[in-house]
Amino acid sequence: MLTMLRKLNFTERARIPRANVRVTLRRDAGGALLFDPRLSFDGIAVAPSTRVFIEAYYRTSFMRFDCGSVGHFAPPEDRRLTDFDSTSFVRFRVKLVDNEGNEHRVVAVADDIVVSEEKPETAGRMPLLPVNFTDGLGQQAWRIAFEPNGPVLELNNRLGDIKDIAKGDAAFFALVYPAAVRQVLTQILLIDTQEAHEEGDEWWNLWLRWAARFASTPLPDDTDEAPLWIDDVVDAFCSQQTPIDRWRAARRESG
Amino acid sequence: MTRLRRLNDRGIEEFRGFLQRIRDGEEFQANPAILYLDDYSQRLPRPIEIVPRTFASKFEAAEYLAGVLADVPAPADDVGLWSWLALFYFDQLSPIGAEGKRRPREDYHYIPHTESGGWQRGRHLLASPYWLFTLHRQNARLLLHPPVHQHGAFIYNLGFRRDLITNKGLIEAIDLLYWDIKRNHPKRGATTSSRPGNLKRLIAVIQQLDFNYDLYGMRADEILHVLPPEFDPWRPPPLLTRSDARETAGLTAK
Repeated sequence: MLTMLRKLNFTERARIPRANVRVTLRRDAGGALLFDPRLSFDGIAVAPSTRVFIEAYYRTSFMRFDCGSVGHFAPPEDRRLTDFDSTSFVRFRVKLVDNEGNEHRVVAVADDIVVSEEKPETAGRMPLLPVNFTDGLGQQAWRIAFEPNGPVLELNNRLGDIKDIAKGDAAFFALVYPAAVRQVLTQILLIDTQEAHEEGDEWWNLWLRWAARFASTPLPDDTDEAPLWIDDVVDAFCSQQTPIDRWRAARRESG
Repeated sequence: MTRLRRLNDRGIEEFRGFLQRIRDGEEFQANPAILYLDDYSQRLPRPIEIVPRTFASKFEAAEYLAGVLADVPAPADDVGLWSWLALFYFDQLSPIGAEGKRRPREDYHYIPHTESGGWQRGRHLLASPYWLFTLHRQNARLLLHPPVHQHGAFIYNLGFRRDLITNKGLIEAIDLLYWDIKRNHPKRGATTSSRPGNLKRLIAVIQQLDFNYDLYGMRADEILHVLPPEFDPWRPPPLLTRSDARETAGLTAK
């Protein structure tokens, strides 16, 4: 069991349910990355005149698209993400803005909608560890990048078949994922010293709730005991996923 | 006068080697041949003339380049074009230091780094000022006041956040708060962390306001209006805010 704290929302804005937002990424004929949004405003109590903006961002990249209003949702024809060059991974934010009286109030928002080119359909679920294939890793095969919105598994595009390797290679899974889980939990508990909240949807909350499913003991209050808890989680994760057995089987098949 | 060119892959590799050799202690040779040899660079399809000149600031360089490049596409990720320009003006982008030597910085200051979202992106010493000038024109003067070989505190603090640096209303508001019109220079203390209402405090407050306000859609005067009293000493006289003046003169389209 996790130690849970309650969380209060002091902002006046409402949350747009993630199930109401569906964003797809694709490439046009010229190779430019572009997005297709489908939004539902069901269950969101705002006026039809409320403006709709979609913002795409990843690290320092940012683009914003005026998509009309709740009553007349009209994404622009040009939805190319020209500020996003070689990434396959984009985060989206949907903002509903009440501009009656020029107040520019954000009345509802859905943030951190993670979409990757490889898994174009994203709605409702938020991947705990999105993958980004990048040219910027030099001679490193992989790296965990800690973005403001959570960790990202970066994989080196210079390995030509890295996308296939990441999808199905048993050795890759065995060597990367347990280490990645350990690194992320270490960041959360020992470096950032985060605490779990009962209803929080911050990335570390989602990670701690996921990890707690594997742990045989409650999340320790004492950071001195956190390394043992992390060991316990990684061990249980590997017991469930059986990466060594799968790797051995793959070697037998290929040999 | 010189015809503007674009380094090809071979020229860019040579430029990287050139940077490393200077770091290793080799003398800087002005106007290296790769600027003009077809094996290393090509002319643009449309002839563009460019002159060697000294820039007093990033702003002056950006304004000049915006004029020169007015009729040609010059996106910041045009690696060949901006690398050629960096090599052409290299003596200013890597000036001789106090110890009598040039010490080139990391390559991405001279050869654009194009990976999406990487923090090195937007650090090119000519492409970044050019992009900021074309986006904000006169309101970029605060961002671009340092010498051409430096980034300066304003770009350093704002440049990592594209949602801030591309927000026209916010950049105008920052100009109104921190630009000293009489001295034609940033106001004293604008980036001093111990001063109330300094730039870093403004960024922190903006990030809080961003929860409730659609700052990207707001004009400069609207952003100034929602700032807390901490920023009052920095505010321009009410009648001198440019947005107000433009509206009064009927110049702003509603």
